[in-house]
Amino acid sequence: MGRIKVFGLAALGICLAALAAPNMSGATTPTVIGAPSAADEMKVDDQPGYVPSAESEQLDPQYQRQMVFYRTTEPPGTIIVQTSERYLYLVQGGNRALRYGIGVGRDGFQWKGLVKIARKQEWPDWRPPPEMIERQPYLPRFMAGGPGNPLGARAMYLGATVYRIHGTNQPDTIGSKVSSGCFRLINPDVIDLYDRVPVGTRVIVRQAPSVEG
Amino acid sequence: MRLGIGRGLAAAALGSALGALGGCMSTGPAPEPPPAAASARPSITSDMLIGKWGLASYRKDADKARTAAAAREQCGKPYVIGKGPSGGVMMYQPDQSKAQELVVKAGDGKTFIGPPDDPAGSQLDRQVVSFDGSTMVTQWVDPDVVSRYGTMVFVRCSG
Repeated sequence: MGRIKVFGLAALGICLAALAAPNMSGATTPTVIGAPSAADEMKVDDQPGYVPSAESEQLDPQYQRQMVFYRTTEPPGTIIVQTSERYLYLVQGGNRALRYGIGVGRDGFQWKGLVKIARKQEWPDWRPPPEMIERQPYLPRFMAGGPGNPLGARAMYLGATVYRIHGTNQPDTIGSKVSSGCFRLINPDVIDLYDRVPVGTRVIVRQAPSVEG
Repeated sequence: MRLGIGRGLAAAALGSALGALGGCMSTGPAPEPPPAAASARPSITSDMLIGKWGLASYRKDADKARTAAAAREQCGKPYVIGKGPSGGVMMYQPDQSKAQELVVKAGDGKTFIGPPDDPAGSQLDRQVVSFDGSTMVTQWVDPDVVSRYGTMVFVRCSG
């Protein structure tokens, strides 16, 4: 956990906008994977105030929300994040899962583990990190939730970690390694997922595809 | 101090003209602007704005109160309004990382902060919706900026 916080705080990315969360129950300690690296990552600044068009939220077919064949022993309702695939699966049972395209953590900010959704929030507020305020001093230091917020339309807080599943106002980042460890979906997808899962939902974060799948 | 509603017929007439001008400015050559609010006096002065402010924004009126509370907590990263060399205020325009000198101006019974050469209520201005000395609420004139950044709440930092 300590190591996660060190990396997370170093990034001071949008994942850190809200730190407080209840304790995890029945969860494993998440493990950070890999070391920070400048290679093979999408360096995109957050774009507070940018409101994506419906057109820009049309993802490439492989990242569009869809029902897929998915073998797993996990019960229906479980979320499985396959970081290396850039997919989030919501297990449906009957060897099926609803699959969403996601953006994942940059190298050094990826992690794996079992957590639970501790809290859900519609249109989460956003606080730009200090280095962003330095670069863009015109920004409000707090933006109440809304369409231009980098955290997008919904947020699901993962256990006691600093990580979240959230929306984004940057649809182009789906399919990329871009975040500080959070998982981002386009707003229509995160709204869809939000409406399907309750607080307490198990979230399994994996790096590589499971052998059972 | 609350902003007054009316500032006289001259100001109202001028503001109406300028308000109409605003929507046309991007589509063709604009007519020669009248002198900026020469006959109208704003309800606040530049000096009233100088200092450190906590800054937050909201889009829905339902968020206004908690946004003001959040602004109050942002004095660790204050938005600093300085005195400009020509008597205006040094503030940031949207998407501009360098502060520039702006002036307080009046038009149509409203108070605006914006570039000195533009008439009151022009696209680059922000309207001062309310000001009581410790809290100022401003609204960008440009609707695109409003949709991106919302309504700004400044709360003066102590000390």
